[in-house]
This record gives sequence, structure tokens and C-alpha cells, in this order.
Amino acid sequence: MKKMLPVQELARDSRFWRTRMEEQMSDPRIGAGRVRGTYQRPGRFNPDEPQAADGARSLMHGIFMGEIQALEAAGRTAFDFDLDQTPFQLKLDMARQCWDEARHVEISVKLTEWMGTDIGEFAEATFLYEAACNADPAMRLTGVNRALEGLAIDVFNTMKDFGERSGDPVMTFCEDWMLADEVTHVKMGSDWLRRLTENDPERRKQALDFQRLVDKIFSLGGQRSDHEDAPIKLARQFRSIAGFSSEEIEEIADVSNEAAAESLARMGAPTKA
Amino acid sequence: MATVTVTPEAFELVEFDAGVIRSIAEELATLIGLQDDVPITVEVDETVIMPRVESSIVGNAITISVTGGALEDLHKARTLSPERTRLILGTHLLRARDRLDPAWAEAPTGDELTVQHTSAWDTYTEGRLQRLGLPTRQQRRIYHFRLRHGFSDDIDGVFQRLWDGENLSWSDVEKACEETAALKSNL
Repeated sequence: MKKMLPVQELARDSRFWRTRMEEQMSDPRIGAGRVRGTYQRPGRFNPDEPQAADGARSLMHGIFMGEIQALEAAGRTAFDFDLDQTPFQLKLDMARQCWDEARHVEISVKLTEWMGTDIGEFAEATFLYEAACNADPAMRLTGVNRALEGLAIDVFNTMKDFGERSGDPVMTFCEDWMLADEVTHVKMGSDWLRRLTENDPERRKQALDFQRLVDKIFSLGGQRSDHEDAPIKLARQFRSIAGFSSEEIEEIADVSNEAAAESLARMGAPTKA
Repeated sequence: MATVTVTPEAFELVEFDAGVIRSIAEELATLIGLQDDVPITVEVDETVIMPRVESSIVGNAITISVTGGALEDLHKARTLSPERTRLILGTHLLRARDRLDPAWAEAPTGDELTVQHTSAWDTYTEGRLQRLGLPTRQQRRIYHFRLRHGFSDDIDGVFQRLWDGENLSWSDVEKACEETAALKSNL
């Protein structure tokens, strides 16, 4: 079996379409909308907003695609490295994560059906798997388990809150169950980062720099932030349970604010988040 | 055939063809049974990614204001989705036809139309579009309805009544909303 599978070779059937994040970020309508004053920055998920249902459907389809890629990524990390690169216990943790991610895919399929979404209705962005293509397992664990699974904690917490406010029992339970697993996955990433880089401070620094980069890119131009009206709210309590220190959580909040300011500046707006 | 005008005639930021939008609107106007003397204007704001649609009537002239994001292909950004265009224009043309009926004279406009009212009206509209042969998705519509009205079997019953409804009036929509509000308060 091939090791280090590139993103282009992921198996998908004809229902799935890919989109690239660069295309989304370089959409000329964003700049044009800003100039003409028609650009609307997404706000907090609110059940009373006219676009709430379709926004939630799109986000949860994105999570479904992310769960597929998380399954693929954990599987690759269990397989791609020899025992001198990754201890057997790490492979076992990745195998356990595969089991969780497979269950999340099944939960997400049921949730998308509940919400009236077809599989493949929205285009797939493959950024999670791309973060898992790094040749260094320590980088993968920080990029995927700490940064992107950390983002998943924020999304699940946000959508659990959305489910509670709208009285949707299916959404609330699905998010709660998946959130519990994500906390474990992030903690696994934090523990293995510490163990793999125990005697190599330079490697640890590189891994944390990589995480910072991933956190910044995937704060989605500051849409994931500490602000009360952010579409995705930083889940401080769950991140703390998952092993992030207070300083690390503050840093993620700062990185999100930076990303928001840079995003607005790119569009020619005042650099206030 | 109804006279349809699409603005702008040429798009700069999205790969939309005004002629395709016009022909979809003409086809739907005939299918829905709008009179030939009803002028229809479809105003597309190509600068907005967020999907939004509004419609209004002045005299018997229908104007549908829609963002480019509402009409685009969910797989390929900035490309027109004929299927989504059909459903969105169909919904608003049917809603406009309702408004031209005296039984809907009391239907509020703009911000006075609550998300609950809109959701109930959309349910009645999409049910009729399905019976006219347009591709619709009942499961998607019921999720919208539940989000606005509540999650219970009894509320689903109100949804089904609206979906299956024919020749309803504005007061039927209002009654349905009052009923779901009462059911929701007992959840």
C-alpha cells in the first residue's frame, strides 16, 4: 500500500466536488462588495436569522467532509510512519481516532439527512487532509489534532448552542457526542506533541509554529473568534479541558483577531476587527 | 408570455447569462399562470455572495431582487445554477401571484413579514411547486420550518397541511403560525 498519499488521490465518488480555499479567498466579489458597501460579514448563528437554516446546512456539510478527511488523516498517520518515527502507542491512538471519526461520519450523514442536505450538495475543501500530508508526524499532530480538531471543538460547541437555542434535539445531541470525542483528539495531539519533541526543542518550536499558521489560516479571516457575534465562537472551556493552557487560548484569540484585521485590510477596509 | 427584464444585461464578477435567467423566468411565469400583461423584473446584485432574495409588487409589476450568491452553483462558485434559479424565481413568482389575489391583500411586506410567516408561506409555495413538477426538497423545507416553528410531531402536522395546501389565503398562513406558536409554548 502506498505511503504518503497526496490529496489528489483521495477516493471520492461522483457525488463529490472539490473547491480550493485560494479560490474562495480570492473571490472578486469580496473586494467589490466592500468597495460598493454591499459586503456582509457573517454574524453569529442565530435561529431567527433568515439565512440560519441554509448557513447551518452548509456548515454541517463542511463538518461531514472534515470528518471523512479526519478519518483518512488518522489512518494515514497510523500507517505512514515506521516505529522509529512514531511509537506503537501513537499508532494505537490514531487507530482509536479512526474509529471515532468513522462514527462521526455516520452521525454527520444522519444529521445532514435530518437537515435536508444531500451528500455532496456543497463543494468539499480538503484543507484538513492537506495539513495531514506533512512528512513529520509531530507537525501532523499539531496541524490536525491541535489546530483543526481544535477548530472542530469551536464549531461543535457553537452548533450545540444553536441546537439548544432552536430547540433541535438532533443537532444538540449530535454536536454534544462529537464534541466529547474532539476534546479527546485534541488532548491526544497535545500529549504526543510533548512526547515526540521531549528532547528536541527546535522541533517542538517548528511544530507549534506550524500550528499557529494553521490556526491563523483556519480562523477563516477571523470568523472563529472570541467576539460575541462571531459565527464560530472560541470554546475556551472545552479547549482548556483538551489541554490548552490559558496562554495558548489567548494566543489563538489573538491570532484570530490578526486574521480578521488582515482580511479586512485586504479588502480595503479599516483594520479594525 | 410575460415580459421579463433581467438586470444587469451583462455580468462582470460572475459567469451568469442574463438570457438564461430571463428564459427560466418566462418559462416559470407561464407554468405558474401569471397573466401576459404582468411585467417581471429580476434584479441581480452580482457583488453579494450571501444568498438573499426579496420580491415586491407595484401595481401588477413584479420585481425580484436577488443576490448572485443565491443563484450560484454550490459546487462551482460564480457559476449560475439553473436548478437553484428555477426554485428561487418559482417561489417568488408564486408568492407574487398570491399577492395579486385579493385573498392575500392583508399579507405584510418587508420587515413586517416575520421569519415564521415567511417559512409558512414558503412551505405552501414549495408544495405547489413540487406539484407543478419542479425539483423541490421537502426534507430541506421541513428543517427550515422546524427551525422557525419548533420541533414536534404536531408542528410537523401543520407543515404537512401547508405543504399539501391549495387555494389557501393569508389568513390560513396566519392561523398556521398562531397554531405552531401555541404548540411551541407547550413544548
